[in-house]
Amino acid sequence: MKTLEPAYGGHSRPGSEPKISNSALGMIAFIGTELMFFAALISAFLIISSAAEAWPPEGQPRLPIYVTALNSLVLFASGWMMFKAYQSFKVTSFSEGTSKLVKTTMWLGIIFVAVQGIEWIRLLSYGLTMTSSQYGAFFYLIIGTHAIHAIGAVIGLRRLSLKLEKGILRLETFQAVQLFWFFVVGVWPILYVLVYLS
Amino acid sequence: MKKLLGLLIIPAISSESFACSVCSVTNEAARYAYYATTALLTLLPLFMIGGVVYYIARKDR
Repeated sequence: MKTLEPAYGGHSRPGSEPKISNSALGMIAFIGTELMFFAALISAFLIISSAAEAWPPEGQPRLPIYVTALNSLVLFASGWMMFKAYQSFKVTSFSEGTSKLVKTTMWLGIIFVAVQGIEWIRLLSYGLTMTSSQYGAFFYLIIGTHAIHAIGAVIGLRRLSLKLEKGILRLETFQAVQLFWFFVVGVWPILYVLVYLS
Repeated sequence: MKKLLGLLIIPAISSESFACSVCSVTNEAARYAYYATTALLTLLPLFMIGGVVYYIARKDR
């Protein structure tokens, strides 16, 4: 019985390598759905805020613009660290430098989430809650959703760091985590300008 | 038959639908926000898919 022999002696056909890895493509598809989710939240926020007589409403506490601006710089720095870590991994693979850069990214992410949490506790004590007004509801919904994504990304970074230390990290996995972290960093300025500066 | 006729006439004579929260908005800024976000939600998926296709096509060259 004649068996089918794979073309090119079992090797993949020249030029048939995927242009984008499965991990990265899967992450891009996921980020696409998340972007649509954020776009829907932003749409609702814009329509409600522009239909309101006063925004932010009278009697509601104002959001901490300056502290959050500084905290945004921490998040941007983490994005830059992630970029440097990926470049380092491509060149030196499992080096000490790459590991340090990934850990720095993770800790900057943790600082961002922690400062956000502290600000939330202060805002709650000032009376801004989910039920105090539409302003509060949108603030906690939009910024909270971003915080959940940031926490998820920090967990991803922790796993990345562990795999890096064990020497079992694949470049594709690094790409996927990097893409998600860039999404978390990239969507933040839009949310900051819309929610904090409106 | 009368019910059917009524169903056909009502949409023709009603000037606005109060079921839609935006249709009754008289604020011009809210109306503009509605149009802008409609455009955003329509175009964003197209740009995203287009971006990925463009990236793959560029790498294929």
